[in-house]
Amino acid sequence: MRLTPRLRKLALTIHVACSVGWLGAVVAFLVLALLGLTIEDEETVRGAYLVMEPAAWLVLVPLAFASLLTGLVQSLGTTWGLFRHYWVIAKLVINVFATTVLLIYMRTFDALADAAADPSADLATVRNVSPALHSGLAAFLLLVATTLAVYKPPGLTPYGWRKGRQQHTA
Amino acid sequence: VHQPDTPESRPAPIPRWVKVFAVVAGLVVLIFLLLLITGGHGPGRHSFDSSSGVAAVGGSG
Repeated sequence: MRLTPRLRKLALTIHVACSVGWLGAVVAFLVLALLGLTIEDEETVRGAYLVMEPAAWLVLVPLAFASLLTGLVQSLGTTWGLFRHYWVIAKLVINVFATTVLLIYMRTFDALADAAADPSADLATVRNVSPALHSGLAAFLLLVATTLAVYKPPGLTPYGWRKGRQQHTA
Repeated sequence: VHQPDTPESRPAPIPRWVKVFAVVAGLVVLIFLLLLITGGHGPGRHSFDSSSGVAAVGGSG
């Protein structure tokens, strides 16, 4: 099914907003994680780890799925297709991998929040380098995906090549 | 009658950037799976033991 030009523009706008919004949210998490590691004030450190879990459920997870879903609509509803161009497949791989790791990582956010909420846990125990590492790697991956989307490096898959020939001869 | 084997009659070779991406992505997924399987990574590294008041925090996982 092909989208009409107006719908295609709308779908593209929503996809870009969700994907770039996800990247922005991950960068905000990176800043929060770095604050948790470096700031001296105990309340602020505990607050940083406490806010990560609900913020991840309310922002990161919805944006990750919205990016994936709108990306599927965008590729399947246009001539780009899902498996015709290598850059589309690469973006799909990045998106699925990042979303999977995020969902697994939600349990870690939960454990970090539990540690931060426990008054008997000292600050050295509450601080954790893991969110900074994971959000840094996630930001890098999403930046690669954004670069692929903008530059659209050439390269047709064998399937895309066959489809192109079929359309050319039809 | 055989068609001549022209560049148009077969798909273009896989671009170099795709090969690099595939190798890097494969390695990342492999390392991720190995860390998960061996317990060197994942939620278990951050599990909080409330009875002892000590969080089992991992260095990088």
